[in-house]
Amino acid sequence: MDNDLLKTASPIEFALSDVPDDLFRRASFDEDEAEALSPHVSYWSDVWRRFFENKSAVVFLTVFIIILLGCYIIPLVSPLPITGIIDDSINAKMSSSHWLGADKFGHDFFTKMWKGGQISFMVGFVSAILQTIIGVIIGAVSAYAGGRVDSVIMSIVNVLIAIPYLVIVLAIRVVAGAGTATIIFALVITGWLNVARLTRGQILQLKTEEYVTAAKSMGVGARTILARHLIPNTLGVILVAFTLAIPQAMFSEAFLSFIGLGTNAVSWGSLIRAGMDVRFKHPQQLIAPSILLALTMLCVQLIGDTLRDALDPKLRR
Amino acid sequence: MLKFTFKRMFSAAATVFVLITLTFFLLKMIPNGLFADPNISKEMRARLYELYGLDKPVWQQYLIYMKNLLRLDLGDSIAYPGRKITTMILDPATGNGLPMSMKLGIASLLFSVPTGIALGTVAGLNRGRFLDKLMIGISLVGVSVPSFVFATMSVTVFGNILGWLPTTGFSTPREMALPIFCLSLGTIATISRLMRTSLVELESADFIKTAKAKGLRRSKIVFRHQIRNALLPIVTVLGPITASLLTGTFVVEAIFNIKGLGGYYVESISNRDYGLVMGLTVIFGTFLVVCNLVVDIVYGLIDPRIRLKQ
Repeated sequence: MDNDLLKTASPIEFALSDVPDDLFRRASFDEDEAEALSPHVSYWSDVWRRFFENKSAVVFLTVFIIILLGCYIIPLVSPLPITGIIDDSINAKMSSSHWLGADKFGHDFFTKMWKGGQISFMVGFVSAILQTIIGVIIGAVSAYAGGRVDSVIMSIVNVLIAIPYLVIVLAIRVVAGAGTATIIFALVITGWLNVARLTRGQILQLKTEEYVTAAKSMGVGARTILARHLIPNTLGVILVAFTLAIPQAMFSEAFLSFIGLGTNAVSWGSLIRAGMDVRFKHPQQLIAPSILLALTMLCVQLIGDTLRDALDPKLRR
Repeated sequence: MLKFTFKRMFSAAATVFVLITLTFFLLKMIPNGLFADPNISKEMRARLYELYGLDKPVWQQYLIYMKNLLRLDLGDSIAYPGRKITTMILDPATGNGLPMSMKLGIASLLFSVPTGIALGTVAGLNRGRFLDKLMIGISLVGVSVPSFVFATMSVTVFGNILGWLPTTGFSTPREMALPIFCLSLGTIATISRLMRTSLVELESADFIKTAKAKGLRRSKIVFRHQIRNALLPIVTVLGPITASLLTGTFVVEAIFNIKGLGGYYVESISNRDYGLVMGLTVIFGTFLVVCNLVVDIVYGLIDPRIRLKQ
């Protein structure tokens, strides 16, 4: 192919040399335009841009932040107590002082509802962070070590992962009793398996990628390959797994509280359960926490989905 | 294929064994011990321990439990003295317990899987149009809204306020409608989302391009090539879906007052009826592991790439 090109090109070149120089015009070179044609966009700034390009994701992220702040600020600034029994306001109707009425303890429902979110967020974030850390460490060790260590770790993971998580969570609940720590512990115990499998798979796959081989053959050191190629590429998948673990954990907490096996603290799940009993007299006490929980879950799910798309290098433009 | 099947069966058996062993020893670690009630006298406690075989060393108890398990004997309930756990869970006389939960679960699967596939197909074939966007929105809500929120809302609206459907029981078709609907929403959302994605991904597959290039009619491409291949990933999620139906049945059984296993589970945990917890864990765990096994084998059958990769 190259030879053919040369053969056909040489007579032309020969002819060109006969043309006097003053017939040539210099091509104009617009520096601004050249810059615009090839801007340097790093992977993460591209991810950032693509995430914020998605308008619904931005809206849901904003809503999520508002709910998150509300859960921590509103109970602090609310003048109405939500502990002990307040006789004056037992089952109070909706009014200017009790926006959503009060429950059977006389607690202001609006304040209590926001307070209930704290447990959800805490369980969601703490268990997602812990299970991600444990999973990444074990998965990475397994993939790096390879050989027998890898096959032992992975057969343990494969056996454990097939155990339905709810069964384990409930068994731990029996042994450890009610409490937020119990739920987090149970969720971490069952959740890390997935992350470990994911991380291991990623690293094993990335190790044999062409660009890693290319980098190696160009003499790039192992540390640079790790920092520049393996970690950034694994981080995306881990981040997505992390964001999707949050709603999963929040759901589990709410579900356990709803069926009466959750924490002793106020939580959206237990409020919805209590709301069921008063749904004819105080429908807002069922509806309001339900909407808040559903909206939060929707936000986290959507943020996770958008993040996954934004992190996918295949969709990069 | 045979090797693949055996490998999978062995792994499933190992999982069940680990699950049973793990739960058994986990439940033995309970901090304040069984029969911790201070009203029980020392002699009484000793007799109770003897009755339930708790006076023996733990490893012996474990062997006895495993031996009995082989004869499908799950021991006696503690909260309901004198009742066999096996009969409580299966209860052929009333049809409550496992048969009831299975009826609910299977009915929901039969309703939600075809519905989800149909809705996902409609969305996937109308990509980018109004119908698709509507479907994406609805299924996103379906995936995100917790089952119990949806169930409490619909029982209040359709059952109590509008009075269209009964709010308790699960024997007549009218009674079954609302529980099945509540239980199915999540599954429908998951399946339709997956079906849509896999249809859209197939749009650019080589064999679809070939079919188009051959000049095949669109209907033929869609039905013969696209939908059939898009169904493959659906099979893989049937395992996890069965597991999530389990959480759903807990909620639906509690809300509609259906006497399935979910109620027993919650009650046994609150009562600290360890025998029953253990029995239910064994039953549920085995059931779900077997479901996953069946799904795996079926997937291996229909997609040769899976069994060859092993």
